[in-house]
Amino acid sequence: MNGRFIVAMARREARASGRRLALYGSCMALGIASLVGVHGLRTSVSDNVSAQAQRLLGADLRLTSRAPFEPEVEATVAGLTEAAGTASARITRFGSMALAEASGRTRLADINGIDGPYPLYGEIRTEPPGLYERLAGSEPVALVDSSLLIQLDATVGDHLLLGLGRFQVIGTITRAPGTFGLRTQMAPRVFIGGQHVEATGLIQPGSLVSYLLFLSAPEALLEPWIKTERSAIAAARVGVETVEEYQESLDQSFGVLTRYLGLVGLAALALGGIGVAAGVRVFVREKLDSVAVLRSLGAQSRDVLACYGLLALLLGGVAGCVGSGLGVGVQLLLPRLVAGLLPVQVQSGIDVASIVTGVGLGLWLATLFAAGPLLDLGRVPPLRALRRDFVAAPGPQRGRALLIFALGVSLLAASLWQAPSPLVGLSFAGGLAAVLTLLAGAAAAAAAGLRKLRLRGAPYWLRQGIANLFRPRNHTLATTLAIGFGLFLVSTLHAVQFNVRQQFAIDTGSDRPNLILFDVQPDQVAEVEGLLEERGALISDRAHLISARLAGVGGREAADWLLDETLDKNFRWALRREYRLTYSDVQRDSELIVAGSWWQPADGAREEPVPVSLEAGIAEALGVRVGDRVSWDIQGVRVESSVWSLREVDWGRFATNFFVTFPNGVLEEAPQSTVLVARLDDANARAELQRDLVGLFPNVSALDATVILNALDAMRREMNKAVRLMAALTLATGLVILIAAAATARTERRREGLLLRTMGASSQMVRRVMTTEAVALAALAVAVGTGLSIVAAWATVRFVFELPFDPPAIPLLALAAATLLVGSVLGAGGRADAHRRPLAALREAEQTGAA
Amino acid sequence: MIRTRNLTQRYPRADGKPPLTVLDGVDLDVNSGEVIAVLGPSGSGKTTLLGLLAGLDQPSEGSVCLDGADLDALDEDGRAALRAARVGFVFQTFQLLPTLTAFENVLVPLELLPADRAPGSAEADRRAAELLGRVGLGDRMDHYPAQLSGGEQQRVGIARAFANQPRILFADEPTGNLDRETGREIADLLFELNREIGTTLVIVTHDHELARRAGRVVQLDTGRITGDGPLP
Repeated sequence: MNGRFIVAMARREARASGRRLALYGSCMALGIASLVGVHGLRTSVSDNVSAQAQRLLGADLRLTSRAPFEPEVEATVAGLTEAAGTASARITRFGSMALAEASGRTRLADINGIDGPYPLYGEIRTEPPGLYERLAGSEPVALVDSSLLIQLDATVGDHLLLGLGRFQVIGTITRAPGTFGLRTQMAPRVFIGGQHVEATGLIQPGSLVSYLLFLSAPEALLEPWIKTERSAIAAARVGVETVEEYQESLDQSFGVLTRYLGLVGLAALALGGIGVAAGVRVFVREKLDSVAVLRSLGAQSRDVLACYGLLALLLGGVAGCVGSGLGVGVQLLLPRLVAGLLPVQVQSGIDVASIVTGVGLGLWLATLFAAGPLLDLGRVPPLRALRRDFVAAPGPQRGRALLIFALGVSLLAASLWQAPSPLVGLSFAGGLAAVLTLLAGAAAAAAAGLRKLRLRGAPYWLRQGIANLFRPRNHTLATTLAIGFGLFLVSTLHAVQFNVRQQFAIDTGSDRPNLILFDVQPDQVAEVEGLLEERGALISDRAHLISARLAGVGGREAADWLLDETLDKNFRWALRREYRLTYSDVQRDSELIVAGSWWQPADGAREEPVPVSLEAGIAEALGVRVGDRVSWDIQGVRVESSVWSLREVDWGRFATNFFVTFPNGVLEEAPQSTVLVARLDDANARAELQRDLVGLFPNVSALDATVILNALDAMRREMNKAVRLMAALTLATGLVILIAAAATARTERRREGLLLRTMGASSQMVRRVMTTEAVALAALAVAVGTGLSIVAAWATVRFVFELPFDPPAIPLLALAAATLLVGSVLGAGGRADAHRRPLAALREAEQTGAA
Repeated sequence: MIRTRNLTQRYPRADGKPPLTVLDGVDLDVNSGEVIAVLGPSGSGKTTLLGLLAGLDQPSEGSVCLDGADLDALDEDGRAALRAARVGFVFQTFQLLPTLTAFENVLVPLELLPADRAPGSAEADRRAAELLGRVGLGDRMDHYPAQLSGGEQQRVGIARAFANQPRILFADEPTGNLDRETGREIADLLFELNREIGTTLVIVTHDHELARRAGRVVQLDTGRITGDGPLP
């Protein structure tokens, strides 16, 4: 290797072509910026969660149960706290309607009855400050989320009715462990003293209540205690969560979001890589003569390769550095965009590790993308210096194959690293490859089709402009990929979102219920129904709810199963959970039997094993099939059942859905409550009905569909901000590539335009030829990108969301038209050489090898 | 210095016809320090012969021995190393590297010399500047090829060709792209420098006037030598 020659030539080439190579490198910069930004956010959240996990949980250990803790559990816990000399705290948590006395408005709220020094770590901050201790007093007071006051049109000092209890709101909660951001909008919190819970009268048989017990103890005591007691506690159907587990679950839930965002960034990166390869390919074409001269002067092929390899590294360095620099901006911006979704408060900051990763990734991938075309320079025959048209026979393709393999492996590894699961990573990489292949295939097919098109009668500029799409050195592939892929991503995202939102709209449409009443006691059903009918509400469904637990499955007792610590997470959850059973002899419209059959009224009812129908998902978690036996503990009474059918349930519907359905004639005598589903169109009437319900039946909770939709909408808006930012970065990448491609096209088409001018073509004619090419290219890319996006959106909506597909025609057309316009303007602008003096420009073109 | 035996070059044709014979059994000997012109009309095989003599291409048949080295025995990189050390080139279309200044173009062959023969940076700079001064471009050293006239570009080409002090210099129609007056000046310069340095010079041309200035003229027609000696 001749190091002196390599470095000197690389330096000179960088001086001459550095700006161009930097432009190519910047094609990847936005993709890197997305990844650096998303990684920075993930790291900040993870670091903050890690630092605050104890305060977020409010304890070293949290026990959760759907029923009051059994004496054995209480005794074990007492043993621990006594040994540690620490206190414990409890929360009794349940949902209830909160009625603001002054405004008369109601809202389903998350009631937290606090006993003991909760939180054991961290603090609850209030506005005005220092009010939290007052909850422990005899006076019935409440602290609430400020969103609840807004929704109830209430202020501090007003009174809230919770069931039979009347509480004065003394302030708002500004910080408390556990809940964050938009979750408080879904279910705003009310904190009251635990001593006042009973007075609300809201804890009744069948009520959905969570009992939480918070413990603190030194690690030396806690760890062995957990090891010894965990299975016994789990067997009592009590959930155990340590700080580490809580931290992990927070990390995981937020990690999924950032990983999906990262995949969009990766798509931008791959698109940028294609831009790099396309740009460098043209650069290489221009360098063939120079390299031939160098070879004839005695340069060895490996020295030439090393020289241009250095330039590829430079390009990669630019991509990595510019991308990471922009990524810092994204890092500062993203936490503000998704603040409502973050589990912790995150200060916008700069994450050095993600910047280093970004530079490394840019350097590696950009170099690989650039190296493919550069390999051609190693095979330039020196004879080309004497005969310009001399083309060497194709050399061995091993180097190219190795590069393609390295690129494929790198992109696949990046997908797997970025994706929330290996399957998603593989699917993403496969999908990406498929879309790019289809775009490239469509470009090749279009070029081949245009070649056969006979345009003899058409004006010269049209024939010439169209012919530029398939002539040698055309940019059809690069432009189709650049515009087509960017548009594909944005259009697909929009079409999928449109359909999912529309489905929500359908579900709350004129024929759908919009109000669900829970916890209606048997003796209240007739009166509540009477009230609903009196107010003009149409009752569409009523279902009985019976609380139960799983007693045994697969011939083994649930408690025995739960002792096994190696149990699958889903199976454990399905064993432990509290079930809401219902009974009916009629199959619901929204449910589909996927195995077995529905029973007839006479089929085995009242005789054990009783026939039951299970939702397919829960059956899978429990590992049961049609014909298997399942035992239930229905509030102390054991009932044996046999699985008759498995159902698919549409959980997205605003309706009552059940994991387990019994036939009539078995559960009628069990303690139960009723759920009523109704529709009442007028929003004011609905609000009044809810207010009166709370007054008359304090234990009944009402869920208004519009409230849920508003909360979901707020969450969706928050997500959209981040997704849109990423999609915008991808589209911007496409535009950068387009600018680079346009600049390249200008160089390539320069001599041709100038020759036309020399032969007497007007500047207008030359411009028309160039514009026709630009518009035709943009139109092709837009057509292919939009077409593919419709197919992808249809497949996603149909098979992932299992919804009917309705293409959002007008937005997609508008997006396509806007892209066509921008693509044409940028493309045609890059070719504007029409006004230059032919002689001067021709000479320049000769010298720069653009001819 | 150069010896060819039965040098033959054929190119396959795509349409199934027999291969096209461009050079047909050429035997040629060129002595050290000799100046010869290869003269012939277009298509006579001149440039093909030049390419084979310089090791830019490989013959279909026959052999080339250049300065004692059998080109057949060398691979492409071996031949490149030989060119870097012992060969200079002047091209019809000048073939300056467009992204390098005149000075840097002349430096390139010095940078390509093997380590044991490569001058230090300062010496290389001095030699390149001296050569450019010698061809009358001492004040245009920082100009890019696009900023030079055709004659000036060929002067840079000549300076570059002599930079590595080659033992043999090949010139492919060195005046072919220049007007008569400029062409004469360039030819003067080429012969003058060659005399000073004592390089073996092989000029390929179809210009009788230029060929006549060489001591020996090898005439080529349809790939065969049809004459060898001074032109009348």
